[in-house]
Amino acid sequence: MAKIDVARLAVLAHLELTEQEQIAMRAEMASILKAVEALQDVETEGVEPLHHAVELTNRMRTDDCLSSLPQERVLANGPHVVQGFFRVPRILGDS
Amino acid sequence: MEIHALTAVEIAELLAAGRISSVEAVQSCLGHIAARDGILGSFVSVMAEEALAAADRSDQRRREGRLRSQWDGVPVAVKDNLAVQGIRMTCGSRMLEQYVPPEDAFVVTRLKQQGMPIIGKTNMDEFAMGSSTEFSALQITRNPWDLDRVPGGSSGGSAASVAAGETPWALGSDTGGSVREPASFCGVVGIKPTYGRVSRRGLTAYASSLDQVGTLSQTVADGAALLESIAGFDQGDSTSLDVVIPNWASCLRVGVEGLRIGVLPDSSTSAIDPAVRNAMRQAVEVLENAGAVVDTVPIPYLDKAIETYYLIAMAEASSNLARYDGVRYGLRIDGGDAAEMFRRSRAAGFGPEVKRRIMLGTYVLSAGYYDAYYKKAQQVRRLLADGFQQAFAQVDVLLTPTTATTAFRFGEKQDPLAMYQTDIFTVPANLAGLPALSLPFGLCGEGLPIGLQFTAAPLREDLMLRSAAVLEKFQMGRKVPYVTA
Repeated sequence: MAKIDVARLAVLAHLELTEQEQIAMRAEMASILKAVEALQDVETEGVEPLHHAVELTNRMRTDDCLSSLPQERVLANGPHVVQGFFRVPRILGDS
Repeated sequence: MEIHALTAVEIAELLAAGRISSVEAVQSCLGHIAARDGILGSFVSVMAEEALAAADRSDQRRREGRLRSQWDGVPVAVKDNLAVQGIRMTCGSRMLEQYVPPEDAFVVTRLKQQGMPIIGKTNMDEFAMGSSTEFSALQITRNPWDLDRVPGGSSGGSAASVAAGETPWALGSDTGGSVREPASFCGVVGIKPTYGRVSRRGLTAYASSLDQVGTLSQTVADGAALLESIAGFDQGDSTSLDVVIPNWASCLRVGVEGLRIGVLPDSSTSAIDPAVRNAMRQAVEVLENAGAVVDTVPIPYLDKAIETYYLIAMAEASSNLARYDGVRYGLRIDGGDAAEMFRRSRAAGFGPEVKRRIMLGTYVLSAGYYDAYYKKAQQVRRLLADGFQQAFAQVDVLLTPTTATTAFRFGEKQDPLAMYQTDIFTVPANLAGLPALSLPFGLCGEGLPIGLQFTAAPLREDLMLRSAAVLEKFQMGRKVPYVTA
């Protein structure tokens, strides 16, 4: 099994991990992934993946306007709310 | 009279007879919580004011003859990943420590519509990821049967609160066994319905194709009643089934005459505690004496269920937890730019087990690994589900232990893999969307509850309830334990 690129995964998962945490994480992940290797022994040629236990198809509702949450309630948990907006640090950096 | 320790059915009868009021019932629960929960730690939030107000309104309705349901006035506790409007919902995590839901979960609306006062929110493993409630970032919950042992998880708080008589019944959630395993460890009844029976709207998502709301109760009758109360089609949940809710209460007296009960062949069972094996043997005897036909039925690929479950659950969890980015709610740690803010907020808000699962989930879904891990797991899931379908052509219900052992001690399962193995009997029902019930059946040598599990075909809760009811009458030594100071 190739060495797990924990640093890259952390970027994809938007998690900041210290050097120490990365080392521990790599070891733990390797151990868990090794355990699930057992699945490779199962013959699954031509088997349709099962995504949902009970296979339903999308049920569309009529395009009617229904009530939704009032804006104040939606904003109430916002860590930084300015004039009805959720304010965040700049999105686009220099890179 | 210690109302708090009575079953929901008993409380409802006393209310109907006018011998107690809902306010007295709630006060009894709150009093017991005040006396014991400092040690036990079942509750993250106790809703004393709200519950007493709701109870008062219930008593008023009773005086005016306009009761909302048979359970009007009976207190209930709710796991802290189910939204109650205006009440902090932590999901056992620092990420949501201050989060207040803007509206009720569908099942909570149901409870309120039927007049049940909600006495509090119960402790859980962080974001429902765990089997012992040790991963709660907020507090420890102890098993009322032995305070040095875990109550199970992730619905540990709900199970412990029912076992300790702090509430007659409670709601939990079950993704890989999180209602049934703590039920087994705490000696109470735990029910996970067929996937889609109960709406997931307002249940904080962990693994969307596996999650279900479930019930914790002292008896099968209470569990069936609570499940009936919360089940039903919800337009707001796209995975909700539009099916009739059977009258489960009526099926409890039908018995098991002629019912075909399947047990696993000895070879397929891993290290099971001798006391649990013994309980299984006795259960089979009881069921046979009651007229059931018990037979061995193999379930192919059952030995791959744990791996299949964890790959799927972690993948889905990594996707579901992407929403916690410090933007609209939850913990925010500022950064130079938005990406840094996301990384820091998530690093600070999530505990080690959650991070592990997000990382693994991200890995198995990433390009180059998706087919080998995630797709493969979904294929094995199909094989497992098909295997169950074939089994249910031969038998009506399956009987297995819920857990291979009784409750373990705090800190005993340090290795994540060891913790994952505790779910060996419970994950299959989630993978295949089957209803399953854990029934307390006896105590082991150390005086800890043993749990046995009934699993049925989709939408056949009636069969597992019937079987469990018969076994319940014969169980030995189960008693609601009080926490001794």
